[in-house]
Amino acid sequence: MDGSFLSQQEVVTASRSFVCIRLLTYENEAENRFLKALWVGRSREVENTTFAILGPDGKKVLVKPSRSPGHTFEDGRELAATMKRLARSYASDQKPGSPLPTVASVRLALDVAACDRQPLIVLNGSNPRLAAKLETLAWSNDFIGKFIYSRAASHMDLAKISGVEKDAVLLVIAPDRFGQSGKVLLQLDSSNASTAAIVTALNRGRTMYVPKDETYYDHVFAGRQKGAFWETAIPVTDPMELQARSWKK
Amino acid sequence: MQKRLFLALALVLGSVVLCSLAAEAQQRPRPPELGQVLPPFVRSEMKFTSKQRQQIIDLEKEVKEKLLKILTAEQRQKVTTLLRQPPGKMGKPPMPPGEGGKDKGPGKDMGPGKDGPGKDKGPGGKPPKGPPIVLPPFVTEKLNLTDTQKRDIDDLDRSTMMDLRQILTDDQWKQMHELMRKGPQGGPGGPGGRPNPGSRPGSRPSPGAYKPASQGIQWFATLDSGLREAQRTGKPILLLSAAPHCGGVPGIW
Repeated sequence: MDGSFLSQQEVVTASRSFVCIRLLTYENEAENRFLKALWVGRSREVENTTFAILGPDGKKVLVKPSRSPGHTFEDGRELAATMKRLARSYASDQKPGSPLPTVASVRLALDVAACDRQPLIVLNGSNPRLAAKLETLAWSNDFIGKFIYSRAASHMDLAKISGVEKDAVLLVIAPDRFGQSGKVLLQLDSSNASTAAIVTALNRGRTMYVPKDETYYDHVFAGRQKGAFWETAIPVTDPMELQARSWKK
Repeated sequence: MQKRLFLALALVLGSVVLCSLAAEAQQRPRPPELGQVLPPFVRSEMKFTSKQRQQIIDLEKEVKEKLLKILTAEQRQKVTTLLRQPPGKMGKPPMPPGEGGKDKGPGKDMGPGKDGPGKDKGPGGKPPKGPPIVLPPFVTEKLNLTDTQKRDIDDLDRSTMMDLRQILTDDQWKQMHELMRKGPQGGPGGPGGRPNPGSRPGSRPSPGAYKPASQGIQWFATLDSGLREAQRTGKPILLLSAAPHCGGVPGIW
């Protein structure tokens, strides 16, 4: 994925006028069908990455789909300028009530958090009031784009997380290097889950989580040595990815 | 007698000249060849086990075979010529890692009323791959590569770098990067090999550390939730799909 464009400040600023959807390729059948209908590469199958800008209905194409922003735009500045221009035709006011942007499962969320080098926030069990507080904070200027979120429906979802206490309702978790397990940095139970306590936990969590600084090659090499391998929910179809995964055979 | 003395002297002098020529040739490293992944000025500074030497030889043979398939005959000829150019005639200095000769036009937005799927254009959207290793930028710039060739060479670069990483120890890996950063003796284009890949005179090379792709953007992680939000707010959609693993290794896009 072309990180250089999407981490540029002008693109991040422009993204506030959009609903930003980042799908996890090969993890959901329905999403895979959507991607295949939207764009395929030379292989005529879904490839590792897809990029597009669409209308609010998810159907109208505003920027022709391609493999990545780098395929369509010269640089982040051009992408940001195009996004600003397109956004003028649509509503861009911040409407309150955006839901918590959760990843479908804790397992996936751990991996995404490791990829993004961000702490993972997990809501444990059903607690609508807590969820509402967290939603508001997640979209606030202080915390937007700084965490990955997920929900744990049962204790089984937290099997790979160490340090979880029995009554914890909100967990701030540091993913491991390969996103296959996690460690609780902070946790709140229902007796101390005020907005102020959540704010403190989020701020402290960001300070406490210090991801490893490494090159792409170091990461992949270390992962292969360790045998860290990701099994996708549906088969991989990108030819280069298939070739690159052959080390595991 | 004098004739014999003269012959003996000529023989000795001839030997001395031959020896010094040989010594000079030894000091002047051979120019790099197609498929060579470690430039001569790096190879000469590093110590390898015999097993590593053989592995590197095998790897370079494989790289050469793949490059021969990717390049046209004319391009192959050009590469050979360019790699053998004497120092000082290397042309434009190589670009830092991550920057390439992308020659794209302006952004291709559809505008209202147009839609339809698009086609793959150019190299895949992969993570930053570091300095090029199979062909230096000063060579690739002059080859008029097609988008397909650029992508194939990029992919070959990545896989070669991974293979090399497997061959070298951690210390050797760091040493290799340090030597490549410094360049051959005399700076870029100096005697013995390629210009310092991934840098230009006067600039600091990129450290190559992986940086996350999208800090700051708040992503909806499922299609359903994102579509519902877009319909609720009337905002357009910035859509991305990516695999949270590379080559099967999780924890990296």
